[in-house]
Amino acid sequence: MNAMRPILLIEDNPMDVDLTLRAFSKRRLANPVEVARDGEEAMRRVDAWEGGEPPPLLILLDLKLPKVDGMDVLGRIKAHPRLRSVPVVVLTTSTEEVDMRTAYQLGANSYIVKPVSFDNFMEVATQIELYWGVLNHALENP
Amino acid sequence: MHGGSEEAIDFHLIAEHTCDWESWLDPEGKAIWVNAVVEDITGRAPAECLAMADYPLALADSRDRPILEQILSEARVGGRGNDQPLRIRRVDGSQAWVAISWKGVRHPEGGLAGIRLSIRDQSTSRIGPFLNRYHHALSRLARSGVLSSGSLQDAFEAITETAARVLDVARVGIWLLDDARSRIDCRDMFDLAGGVHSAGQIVEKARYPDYFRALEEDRVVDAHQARHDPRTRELTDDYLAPLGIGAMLDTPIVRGGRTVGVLCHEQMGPARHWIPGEVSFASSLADMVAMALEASERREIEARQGRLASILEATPDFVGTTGTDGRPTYINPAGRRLVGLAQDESLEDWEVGQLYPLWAKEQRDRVAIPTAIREGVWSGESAFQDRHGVPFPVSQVLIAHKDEHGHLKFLSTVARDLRPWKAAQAALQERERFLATLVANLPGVAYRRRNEPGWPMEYISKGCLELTGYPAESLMAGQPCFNDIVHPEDRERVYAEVDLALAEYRSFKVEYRIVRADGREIWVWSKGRGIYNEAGWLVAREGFIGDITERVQAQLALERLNTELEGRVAERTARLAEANQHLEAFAYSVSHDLKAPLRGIDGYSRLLLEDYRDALPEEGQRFLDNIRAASGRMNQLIDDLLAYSRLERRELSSIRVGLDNIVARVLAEREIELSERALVLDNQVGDLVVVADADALTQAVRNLLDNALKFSRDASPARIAITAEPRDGRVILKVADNGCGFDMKYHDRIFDIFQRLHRAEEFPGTGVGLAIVRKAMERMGGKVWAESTPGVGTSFFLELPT
Repeated sequence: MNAMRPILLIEDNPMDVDLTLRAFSKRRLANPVEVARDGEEAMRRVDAWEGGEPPPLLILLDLKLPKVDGMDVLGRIKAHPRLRSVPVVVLTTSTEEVDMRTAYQLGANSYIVKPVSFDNFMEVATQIELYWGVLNHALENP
Repeated sequence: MHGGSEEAIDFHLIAEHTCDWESWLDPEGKAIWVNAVVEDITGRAPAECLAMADYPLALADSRDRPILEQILSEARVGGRGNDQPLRIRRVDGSQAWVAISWKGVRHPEGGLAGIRLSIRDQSTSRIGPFLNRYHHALSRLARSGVLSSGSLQDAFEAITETAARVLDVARVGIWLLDDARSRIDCRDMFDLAGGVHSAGQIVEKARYPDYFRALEEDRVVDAHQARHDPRTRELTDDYLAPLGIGAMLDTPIVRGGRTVGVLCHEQMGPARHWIPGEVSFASSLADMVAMALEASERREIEARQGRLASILEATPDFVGTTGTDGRPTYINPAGRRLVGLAQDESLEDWEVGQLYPLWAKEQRDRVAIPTAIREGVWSGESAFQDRHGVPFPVSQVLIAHKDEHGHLKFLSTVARDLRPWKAAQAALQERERFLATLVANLPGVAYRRRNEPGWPMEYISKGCLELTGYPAESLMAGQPCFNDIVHPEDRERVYAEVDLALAEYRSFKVEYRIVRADGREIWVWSKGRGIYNEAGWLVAREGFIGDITERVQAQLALERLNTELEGRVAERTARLAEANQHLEAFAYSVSHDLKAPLRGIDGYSRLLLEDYRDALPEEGQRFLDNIRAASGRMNQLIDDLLAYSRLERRELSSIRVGLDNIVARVLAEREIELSERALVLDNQVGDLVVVADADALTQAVRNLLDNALKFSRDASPARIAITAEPRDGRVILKVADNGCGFDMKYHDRIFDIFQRLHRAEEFPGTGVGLAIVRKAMERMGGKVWAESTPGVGTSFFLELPT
């Protein structure tokens, strides 16, 4: 069911992955969170989705990734006619205007700067949860 | 005495006292009375006349007898007439001209009483009334001045017009003989009817020999019937008949006893009797033509003499004349000046001997004068002396003037003061010597090369030995030729540049190498120009060659240095650009990588506090709080640094922004803090427009407001005033607080990055805020400064362009 549709977190920093997962769990997010640890792995996933595997419910994407840049991953997803509808939230430390502009131009659904403070991070998790809730709701009541 | 009427008696009374020849005839024409004057004119006594059968006809010249018969017949029917010219024969057979007036006198009842004849002698000096006309005309002409002062043509025209009008002839012309006396040229011809003048006709002597002979011999040609007159007959076909001329009166124009031309009166119609008065009038006019010619010549001579005189007066040379006695008769103004004579000083007390120094006087007496007398002229160098006996050189010409017999009349001399010339000569010599010294002592060489194949060296100064290692003599002898010591690689370029300059008539300046006698290469510059003759042909070139080896070497070293320097600058610029890129990458890394561990520290310490609070003692919890506070400050520091770095790297815009809007936006951002503090805020910023980057300006204002809020923390109440005013085309924004203030000696330091005046526990901060303000202002073309008094407050000022 929809509750089983996973959220994909594309993030190379293990501490950030752990903190994100913890923040979600503290918010009691039910969906499973899958993790891709670099751009190359993310691309393999995209290959699989293009091959017919069901895409995730939501993608959280860090931009600065080893091997393949996050922007390339974003571009590939948003260029595909079927995957285009999967919401991608860019979650990054970059406050550079150029990054934000590029991300939105490529089709990102949201651009969130990772806060240093965990309390603020929890806020972000809440926002994402709200986002997820809307999505889940939409999927339950098509 | 028979008297038929009152008039006859009156006539008688008058006739006794007149000087005219008076006659009274009866109606049949028989002489009744003749007065005594008849004897004065004809040489016959009155009684003799009365005895004549056909008086007065017998006294008339046979040629004019028909005229007199005509007069008498007119008178017999009561007719009258005046002043008819008539020739009569004297008792000695000679001819006399008279003018006859006549009247047929009638009785009161109508019958003819008699005939009165009144005859006036025209050949004597007694002037008749019609001669008065001639007299007046001549004196008018003479008085008009046209003969002597007007142009010759004006005089001719005045004369021909007078002749035509007074003598009442159709045409009057002035004809002048040419030098060969072979023809006459018409110089002026007046046509009375048309009132016009013409000229230019020519009559050749060869065609009309009789006419010309008559002109030369008879002096006056009075042809009553020109076409039949032997003197003028030959003119009939060519001249008289075509023009309709019947009578001619030609009076010769005589100068110096010689006929030079003719004044020609032409009468239209069949014939005209020229009477003596007319002839003498015409002769007088011809004399006037001669006078006009003379006056004209005289004027010309006078003008020529005037010109000569003015030349003499104006010439800077000495001009003088000396009589045969050796006394000076004339010295021109320049001459007087030269020898020290006043312009009006008499020459009487002055002797020519005074003019010459002794040796020059001897030369004059022994050589100059004998030569001049013998050959007409002597010229040579001599000397004069002034009044004080100071001699000076002159160049002199002495001319001997002789009369037609070869006797010496006078001497004239022309002399020129040679002092200026001698001085110029001396100056020239001195300059040559100076130039020679100069050239010999110059550090380079001067030269002159002839325009011949190979440009042979005509002259080269001594310095060439030092420059080239070859003596001047050998270069002038072409051993070696100068072209051969020019460096082979430079020859073509040098020749081309020099040839172009010579062709364009301008000077040239070239730099090249020469190979010295010792094989060493040196650099020289050569500056020179072409020398052209009057025809514009290039005859030589002259110039100067100097050693510039040291300069060229220095220049080459400098060029090398410059090249190296440019390379170094380029290298450094590239390195700087690279460093900038690194810096940007670094700033990006800071934002990304430096914050990741911070997030870990903050996140896990938060989880620790949240999940394991109970397991920690109170001190452990405080440690964790400190850890979290430290990471928070570090985060702030990183953010500020990034803001600073971004401000430095970002491209700023320059747009017109409302200062009040910016201030309002910043106040709105800080609304909560402002409302929570016991603070008096006074915002007086009005509607002022500045040119700035809106974000950078907002950041600067925000930082100043934060600063004021922070440092006025302890004031009670805190006051913050924001004002703005235009000044000198710019706008000054002032943010004033009543905070703790600072010592102005730290003024410049507070705008440096990481500089803080307070300990962290007093006022928290990263030391970046004011550095950001200054950076923003610098990049927007503005300024920031502060005025502060410790314990009273601080005012920050932003100056912005508008």
